[in-house]
Amino acid sequence: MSDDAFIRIDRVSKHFGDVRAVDNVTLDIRRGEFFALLGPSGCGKTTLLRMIAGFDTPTYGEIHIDGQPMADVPPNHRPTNMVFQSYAVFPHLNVRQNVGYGLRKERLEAKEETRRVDEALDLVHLTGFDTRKPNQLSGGQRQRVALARALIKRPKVLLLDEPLAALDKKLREEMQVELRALQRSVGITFVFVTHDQEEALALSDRVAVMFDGRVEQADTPRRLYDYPISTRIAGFIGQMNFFDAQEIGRQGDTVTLDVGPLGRIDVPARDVPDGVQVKVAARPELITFSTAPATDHALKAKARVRGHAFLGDRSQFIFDVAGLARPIVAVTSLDDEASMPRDGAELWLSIPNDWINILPA
Amino acid sequence: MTSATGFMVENRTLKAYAIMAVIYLYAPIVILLAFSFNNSIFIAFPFKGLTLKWYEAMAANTQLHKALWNSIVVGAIASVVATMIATLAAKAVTRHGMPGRHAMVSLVSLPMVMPEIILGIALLVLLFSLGVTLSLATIILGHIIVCTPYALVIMISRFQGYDPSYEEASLDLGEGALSTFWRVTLPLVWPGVASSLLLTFLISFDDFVVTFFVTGTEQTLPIFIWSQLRFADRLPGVLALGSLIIVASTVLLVIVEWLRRRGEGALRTM
Repeated sequence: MSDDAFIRIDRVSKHFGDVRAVDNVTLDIRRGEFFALLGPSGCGKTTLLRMIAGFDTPTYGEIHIDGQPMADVPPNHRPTNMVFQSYAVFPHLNVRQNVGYGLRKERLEAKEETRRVDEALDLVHLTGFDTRKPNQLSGGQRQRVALARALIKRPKVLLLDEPLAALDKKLREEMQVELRALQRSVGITFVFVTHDQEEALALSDRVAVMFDGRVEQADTPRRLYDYPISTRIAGFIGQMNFFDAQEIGRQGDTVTLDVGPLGRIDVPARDVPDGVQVKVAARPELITFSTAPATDHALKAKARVRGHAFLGDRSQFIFDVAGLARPIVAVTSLDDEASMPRDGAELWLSIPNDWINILPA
Repeated sequence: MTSATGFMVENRTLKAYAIMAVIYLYAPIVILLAFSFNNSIFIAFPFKGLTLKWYEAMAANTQLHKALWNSIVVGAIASVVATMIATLAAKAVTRHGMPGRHAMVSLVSLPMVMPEIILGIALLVLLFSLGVTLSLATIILGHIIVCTPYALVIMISRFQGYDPSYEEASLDLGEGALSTFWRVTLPLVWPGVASSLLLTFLISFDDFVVTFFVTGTEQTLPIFIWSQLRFADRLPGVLALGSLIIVASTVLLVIVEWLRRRGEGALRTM
């Protein structure tokens, strides 16, 4: 574990009866970081967040925040505040009363309290909405109230449970930008839960990808995308083509893999531990196609265009390769329509050697 | 078109049926109201003319005033205590995942389905064996038992109607359990509390059977009315009283329903 851990999650498990919602998770989250817990629904990410907030107690393991063990600290005494998925903006209070709700315990002078509430409303651009009731607000505005209400407490950590899930696409994209800017301006550590990989990549400094209660990989978005450690991660973060591969020779630092119809490739031996079945993986945007076979790439195959889709800034092609069970997906940003291959055309696909991933099957 | 005609006929039959059902339900009440203004000691047609003398007699009857006051006191205490018990129990059942909560709800609801006469006898036996003197206090005790299940049903459905995140949010913002209850839980369940108070007050105000068993020397209104029926000349006075009770009950029930709908409406927009 590194010394700069601000939130230290140490071998934490949470069992609900026989179900291991969170299973032996160890994570370090740094001060000031925008950190995402990403995974499909039911992977334990929300349970982990709720344990940081104090709403659930770990069955095993410990959570430290800023060096303090949290085991005996109830939620109302933790240096964390939460934005709930439903926002939980109190329906019987107006915007101003909602935002100022948590200040009562701080026993501020009336003037100081007014100033703090004004400041928080300004931060989320809700100045002038003071006397509105929650049922007179839009979803986006209610979320801003929830954000202001949490941030006014000046927490060490802000926890966000699927903060953008309830918003429509356009508003979601606007709020992504705003959340990121807000986090930079307040400098608070943000931990947020999402099932949306694009959102996690767009917002976070680092992402922990969870499956079945475990953290499979925690890394920067760039490294998660470029160096996934498993086929599950590779398939969950962006699109990926997978090819079966057989080891057919091992010499010193090099292993030769037979990738079926795509030919053979030499890869570093450390990527293929002894006796481990591997897959070769390639991102759609790294696969190139042309009318003649490339001479410098090891992996190539003749392919027929099954179909294509124009996506605005890029086009996606689906290729059939004889001998491969699954079609290959390739994406190109070519904007010259005339040079685009037609459906049914025969082409050569090739994958540059350095750009493939070798993953345990 | 035959199908349209068929529908029309069916519709007309349905309307007639509905009107008859309403007449059936309200005829006794209308008759009671009518005879309370009838200038005759006998409850029989034809009418002998309008009078307000039964209402005047009622207004002058101090025994009746005492019984009415007793009923109000008993109803007020029983409804407040039953609603308090129910609010806390409903919170425990819906929020804290209390072990054995389903068994508890069934157990508390039992008096709702148990014949009141059995409940009355059982209560009387218990009070006698404990050597308790029957009084207004024993009536209140009996009414709390009768009222609590109804209050619990109302409060549980109110608690289930809103997101537990509100209470978690309050804890998260630094408030303790008690202040969260005051600042968040109570305002959110308030419409339920109000309709529970009104409904249980009405149940207590109306209760005869259990009250009959545990009444001491002080009477509640239903017991007083029952005692009046032995005297034929007092019957019209009872009708006048009954008419006023019907009017008051109707007003209260309308308020209960209005509160319930308003509460649900507010929850929907949350």
